[in-house]
Order: sequence, then C-alpha cells, then structure tokens
Amino acid sequence: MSWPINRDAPVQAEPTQDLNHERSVQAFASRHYPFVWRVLRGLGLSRADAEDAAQQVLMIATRKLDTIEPDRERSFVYGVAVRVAKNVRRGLFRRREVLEAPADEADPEAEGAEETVALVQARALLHDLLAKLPQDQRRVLILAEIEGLELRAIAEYESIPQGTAASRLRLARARFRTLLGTERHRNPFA
Amino acid sequence: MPMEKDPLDSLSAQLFAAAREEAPPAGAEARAVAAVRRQASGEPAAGVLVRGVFGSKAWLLAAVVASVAIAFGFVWFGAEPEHASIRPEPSRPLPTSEPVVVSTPSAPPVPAIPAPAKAAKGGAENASVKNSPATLSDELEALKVAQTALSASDAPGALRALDRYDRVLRGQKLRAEASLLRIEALSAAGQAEAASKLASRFVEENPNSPLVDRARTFIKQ
Repeated sequence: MSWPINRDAPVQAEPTQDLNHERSVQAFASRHYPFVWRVLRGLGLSRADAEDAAQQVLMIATRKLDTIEPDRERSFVYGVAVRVAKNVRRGLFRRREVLEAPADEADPEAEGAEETVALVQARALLHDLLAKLPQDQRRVLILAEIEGLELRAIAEYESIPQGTAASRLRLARARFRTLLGTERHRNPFA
Repeated sequence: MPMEKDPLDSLSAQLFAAAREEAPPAGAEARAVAAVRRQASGEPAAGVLVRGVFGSKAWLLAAVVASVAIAFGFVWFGAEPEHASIRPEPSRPLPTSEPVVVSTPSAPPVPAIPAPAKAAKGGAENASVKNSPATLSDELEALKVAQTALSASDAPGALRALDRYDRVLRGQKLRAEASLLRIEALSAAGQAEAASKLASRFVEENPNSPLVDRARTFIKQ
C-alpha cells in the first residue's frame, strides 16, 4: 500500500535554516578560530585551557551571529575572547593553578624536533615576559606583534583612542625590551 | 606608520613570530564547531569549561523557575520538600560580620509582612522576626541576593546571604538551590576543598535532584 503524496504540502523550512546556521558557524569558525586561539594563548592560557576557552568564545559569538556587523566580527570576537580569558584566568587562580607560566607542551604533530624545542622555549619565554606586563599593555602588544594590527585597528579592538593605543604600545615595547634583557640567556634565538 | 618608529629588535620579533606560528591542537576547531552545534540543538556541550555552560544566567533562571514550580507544588500539597538540608557545619565559623538575628519562642507574634519585591535584604530580615516559616518569596529573595552577589564576583557577600538564608530565614523550600549556591560561592571564594566536600554530600543526599550534575562538577577527583 502506498500513501498518497501531498505535493502541495509546504516545504519544511527548519532543516534549511539549520543547515544555513551550521554553514555560517563553520565559516565563522574558519575565519576567527586561529585568531581567537592566538589571542587566548597570548593572554596566558595553556594550550588545553585555550582550546576550552576558544570553544566558549565560539559558542558565545555564534549566538550573536545575526547581530554582529560583518566588518566588526573580528573586534567583537576579540572582546569576547578577552572576557572569556579573564574568567578562565580568574577560575584558574581560584584553583591555585600555575597560570602565568602555562605549560607549553609541544605539539606532537610539529615537524623537526630541534625546531620544536626552540619554538617551545621561545613561546615559554614570551609567555613569561608577557605575564609581567600590565594587562592593557599586554593586549596591545599581542595585537601589534602577534597579529600585526595597525594602531587604528588596535584602538578599535580595545575601544580606546588611537593616541592611547600608541602610548600603551610604546610603553609595552619598552618594558618588554627591558624584561627580555634580563632573560636574554633564555632566548633560544640569541 | 607610528608603530614602525619603535620596532622591537629581531630577537623579540622572533619570539613573537614563534607565537604567531603556533597552531591550535589538531581538530580543536572541529571540536569547537561540534560544540556549537550541540549547543544549538540543546545538548550539553561536552568538554567546555564548566563555568561557561553552567555559569550562564539562563541556567540560573531555569533553576529558579523550576525550583519555584516544585516548591509551590510541595506547598500546595502540604508536604515538605525532599531537598537535602545541607547547612554549614555548626563548628565552622560563619564568614560574616553581620549580626545574626534569631527569633525566640518568647518573642511576640508579629503579623506576616509581605516581603517587598525590590527590598530583597529587607525581605529576609523581616522574615527573621516572624515566628511563622519563611514564605517562598522570602526564600527566593534571599537566594536572589546571594546569586546577585555571586554574579558580581562577591563570594563573601554571597556566603553572607546564604548564611542569612540558613540561620535567619531558616529556609526550607529552596534548600537544594541554596546548597548549590553555597557550593558555587565557596568555589568562587577559593575554598575548593570545602566546595568539593559539600558537593559530595549534596550528590549523596540528592541523587535524583536535577541539580546533581552541576554539583558533581565541583567535586575534586
């Protein structure tokens, strides 16, 4: 027995919407996940914590997908990442875990053992030095030196005037140089 | 460009380059997308930090609404709720500097004053001079005070509010929620061991509570 097919039945919209949403989430993640990851690492989270936190950032940000202006996506995601990192750091501090020197475990998939060791040492040193900077200086330094952003973008991401961003960056670099001078022996590239 | 007037030396630049080249763990992005998908479909997101999922206001709202509904059910049928009464241990000093007002049997009966909706603290204190058990709205207001304090990262304030709930209000109807808030507040105050201990008791005594899963997240392995 075959059931009559109602060809006039409306096409269900839900699966299409779900599919569209999923595609947008996938595209959103592709655009921003590596950036979020780097920012979270730069803000002092270990690889494991950065992964958890990046997931949180994605979950929060994708809930607002419809309301984010396309040209503000990156700065919005950055703001979320900074807040999530702050919460995670606070939680870690409460649990009295070592935060400022995140375990910089080597990526087993990385190629070249010597290069990996050097990179791991370099990252560990960088995180140690960044941890000694005030948070606002640390953030602008990450945006400038890791992300390569210009002052205008840094000011937008941080929601501060461009002059303030410039002065923070100047202070951050000066301080970083001084700190690195005291730890030069740890620099694998020296 | 102003940034180039003040460049870092090449050694510093190499350190930052090392950070720039660091890739996320393999499959991390896919796991994050999968978590978002689970979130969109209403499933719990495994692997995400506990605070991110359960610390949301949505969770609190759902818990409070569910609690009120359950408590009203018990009140309606004249039964006591089966929530566990996890109170702070008597020997433990209260983390509060506020005086605790306890009603005495000889105190003259005071007519019940409906707690004003906005004065949460006042509501709890009004209840302290009553001889009759605290109303559900008194208890709810007291827990709201605790939750508000917790949301503002004021763990000591949350603990004080919960002490008021326990000692002054002698709350009964929302005991499970109060216990869970206390666990959260202890954890937020850095007392992870105490939070874990309390959470273990909560789980043992409330195996069927909808709040058990959340309590479990505070138990240290």
